[in-house]
Amino acid sequence: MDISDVAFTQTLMDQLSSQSNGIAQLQEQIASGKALNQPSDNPAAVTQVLALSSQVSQLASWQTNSDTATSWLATANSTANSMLESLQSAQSLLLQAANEGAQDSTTFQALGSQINGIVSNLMSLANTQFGGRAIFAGTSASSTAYDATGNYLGNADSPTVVIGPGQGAGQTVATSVPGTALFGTGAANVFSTLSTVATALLSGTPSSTVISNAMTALGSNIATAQQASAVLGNSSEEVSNVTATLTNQITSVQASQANLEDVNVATATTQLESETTNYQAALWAAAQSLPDTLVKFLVP
Amino acid sequence: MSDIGLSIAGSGLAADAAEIDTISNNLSNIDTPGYAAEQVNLSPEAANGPYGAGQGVLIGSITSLTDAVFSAANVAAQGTSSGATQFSQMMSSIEAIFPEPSSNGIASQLTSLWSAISTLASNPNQVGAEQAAVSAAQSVASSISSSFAQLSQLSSSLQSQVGTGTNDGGLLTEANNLLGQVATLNSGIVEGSSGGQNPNVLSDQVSSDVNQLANLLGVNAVKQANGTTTVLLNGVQLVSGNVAQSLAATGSATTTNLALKTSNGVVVSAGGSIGANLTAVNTTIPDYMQQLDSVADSLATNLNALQSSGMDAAGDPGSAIAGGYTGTILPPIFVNNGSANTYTTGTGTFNSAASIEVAPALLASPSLIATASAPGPGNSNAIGTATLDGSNAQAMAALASLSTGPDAAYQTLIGALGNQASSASAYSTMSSAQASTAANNLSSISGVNENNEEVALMAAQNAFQATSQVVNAINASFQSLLSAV
Repeated sequence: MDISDVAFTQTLMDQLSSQSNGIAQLQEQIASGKALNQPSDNPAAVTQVLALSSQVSQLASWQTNSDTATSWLATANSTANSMLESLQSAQSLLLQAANEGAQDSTTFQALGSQINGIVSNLMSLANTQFGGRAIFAGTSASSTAYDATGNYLGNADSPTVVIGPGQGAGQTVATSVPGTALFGTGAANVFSTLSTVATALLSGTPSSTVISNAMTALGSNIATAQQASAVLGNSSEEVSNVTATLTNQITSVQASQANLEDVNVATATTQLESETTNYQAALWAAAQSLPDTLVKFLVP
Repeated sequence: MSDIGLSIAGSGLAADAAEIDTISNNLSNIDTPGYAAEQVNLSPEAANGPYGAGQGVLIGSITSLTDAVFSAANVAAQGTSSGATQFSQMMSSIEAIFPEPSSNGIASQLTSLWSAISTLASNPNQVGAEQAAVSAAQSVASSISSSFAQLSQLSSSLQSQVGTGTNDGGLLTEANNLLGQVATLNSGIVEGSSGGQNPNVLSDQVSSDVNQLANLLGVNAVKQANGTTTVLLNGVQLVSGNVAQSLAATGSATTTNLALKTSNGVVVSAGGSIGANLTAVNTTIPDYMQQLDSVADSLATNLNALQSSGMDAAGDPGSAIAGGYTGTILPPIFVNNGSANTYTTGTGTFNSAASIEVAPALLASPSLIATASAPGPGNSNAIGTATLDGSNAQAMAALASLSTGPDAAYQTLIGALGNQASSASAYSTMSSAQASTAANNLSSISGVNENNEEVALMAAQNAFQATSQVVNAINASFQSLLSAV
């Protein structure tokens, strides 16, 4: 078959342009550092990368939430511990009052004012804030959990954050407990228990019944608070487990995303090297063969 | 030897001159589109009487070297390749509208929205968090509607590229001019042949026109016995003899299909670059518009449903409640452009992606986003009572991983787009390789090969010189005869 000159140059140009396309694509990949620059570069990988990056963002949200939860729970836990210490010192004061028997009134009054001091300390613990929110007011919008007379202003719901996948909104964890769970409900709360006995002590002549009733009530207040403290402890543990898992997951998902999306520089440069060599060879061949026709040899 | 010898030598010289002229013409037209190499057909002239020498050479004709099969295959392959290339370029334009994967595509804006809502869930009454969530929703909505606008911009520019066929500078006008030219050339060929003229030049022009028509429309061409060319488009005659049909656009891409109609009123489907444009505006682009509608609809209906069933941090309900409510009823999150409270999903000719936007009332007061769940079992929320419950916002953030959510719908769109664009590009590469092969095949017959022409030129030159020598010899013989007398 005769190859006409037009066909010869056309074929040569087609080959050169397809080679230079390949080189341009490799250069784009190396310059951007990305193997995927448009959906058609690898449709399956692009869809996967989109899904993975959405997953990374969700994991990162959960991680942010679990950090928030960690801070809330740390505050709630230390508050609950201080509260338990205060209750235990109130208990020892009451024990002292019960053992004094028929004491002089100044001793009782001194004990009473100490207990009042504990009550106001407890009040400030109960109104602990984190980021502008009263952490023991539940999900209520009230800025304090208890008013000055010990009435609960919050609600019975625990504030929550989502820290992982699951039914509905996902795996939620309580970042605190409602005030009632820690400080007791209504007339049986610590403020009312301790205020009642403090008033009696301050009178200087407390009846032994009042003291022993207060000791019983305080005992159950301590039990309630310990239970709430255990709940907070469990939440903390759950959050810290999840945080560790989330960090690992983010790393591994990001790694698989990078595997799909990022260009392997070593491979790409080697490929570019070989494409460039081929391209130069084709150019050389063209330079050699194009000027050669019979005319060159016929005409001296 | 007689003076007949001189006329024999003369015919040889004429034949050699014709050869040299033809070679010269071939070499001149080596790059001319549509040009088919020509050759001189010679035949010997018979001798007078039984003992006479031959009477020299006759120039029978000068014919173009063509092959009907190869040339038809070439026309078909050029049409296919031109359509495939045009379609692949169009797919690249659509891909440019959806820059994925990148940090400025719709996918990453959706993830920003979900993480803003997730932050809001932990801080339900924080002004900054509310503002961030509403702004993120606004960016997603405006990206969706601007992508839609770019798709419809692409569609209208492809349509105006095709044109209506009436002298508007579009591809159809170009095709109509070419069809007219072929008809004119056809009548020239018939007249020329009957007048004894060489029709090769006209035929070459026809084949150049037909190649251009193949690129534009994907036509077929059939050479008739009288030398004219009949141009067919999917079996419909566009040029027959000296009669050409003209094509006009009919229908519309938005309502019916945009199609082509001949001046006889026959609706005909086209290939080539015009056919690729028609496919794009009738099928491909509307398909991606609909997929974008699905993304918008999934985003708006899922978020609006949660918004209407929740309540904001101030206790305002997301929808009217039995017994009435004196405060604000929350607006939806997304509405159609121009509507205060309504979002309609895309159906028929209505494209929701074109008009999705954040409700103006929510843009004005971002605190109206329903972060809290409505009063119900498991919570102590109450209508009209402020709450820091973030559970409704948590449910909104969880839409990120919903299998029928907007992220999933968008990933489906990008997957489909990537697959179609990459197969369009592969098809374009393959069909242009086929077109090169077809062109090379035809060119091996019709094309001019410089080396062959050089050899032929040498031969003709040598023959010319040799024949000149004969004239010289006859002349010398006559001279010596005359001087002897």
